[in-house]
Amino acid sequence: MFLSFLLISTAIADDTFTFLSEGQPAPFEGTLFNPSATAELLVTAEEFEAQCILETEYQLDVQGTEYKLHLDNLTASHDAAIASQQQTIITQQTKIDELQTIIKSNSGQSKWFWFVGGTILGGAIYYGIDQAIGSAP
Amino acid sequence: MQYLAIIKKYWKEIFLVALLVGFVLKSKHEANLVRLAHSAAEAALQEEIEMLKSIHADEIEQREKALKEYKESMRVLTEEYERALEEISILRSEQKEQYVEDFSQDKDALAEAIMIRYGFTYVP
Repeated sequence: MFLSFLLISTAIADDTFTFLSEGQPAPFEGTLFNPSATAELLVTAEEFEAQCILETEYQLDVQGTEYKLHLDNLTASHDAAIASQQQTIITQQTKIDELQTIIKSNSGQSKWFWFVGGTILGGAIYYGIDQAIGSAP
Repeated sequence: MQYLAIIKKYWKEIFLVALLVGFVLKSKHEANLVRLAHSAAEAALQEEIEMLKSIHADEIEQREKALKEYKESMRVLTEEYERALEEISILRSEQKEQYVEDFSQDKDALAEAIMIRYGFTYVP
């Protein structure tokens, strides 16, 4: 069975490693891992990297979804605000129109007619009464 | 002649009553106009209230729809995330087996994997 020999060198400048068979002398001092432990070191690093990428993507997606919800809520509020504003304008305009119709139906449009008519009628009544009183025995 | 005598005697009172009647009728007319204006304003405001209720209901509906979509998106995302985690775990086991196998069958591939992963130098 082969054994792996992974070395973190302190004596030489470069970080080196080699593979050893069982009983074979080591070319430099170091830490010996069996194949499973060496594989574990490799896959753990790969697993962490994959998990990091996955976690980042997941959190970005979650954040994007939350922002979408926030945006949708703001859009709903915005639409409602615009609609209520338009409705208020329509209502006020309707009210103004109706009030103007009422005002127009009043004597405002023909005030001179009413003034002249009232003066003539008043004068006629006064004259009539005066004549009636004068002609009475 | 009898009426004329009465009018002659009470013409001031009759004139006053006529004026009062005129004033009352005119006041009633004005009050009716105010009532009409009030009714118009009330109807317009009632309509506005109904429309605002409808707008509010639409807004609530939009918000509920957005919340539903959000929940569905989150559910899908979480499911995909958990599935990906399981896949990573499975791949980890498979890869580990592959590395263990490489010790006996393909040392060069294993050495390359260590060099790429950690930057160590392979000493044959």
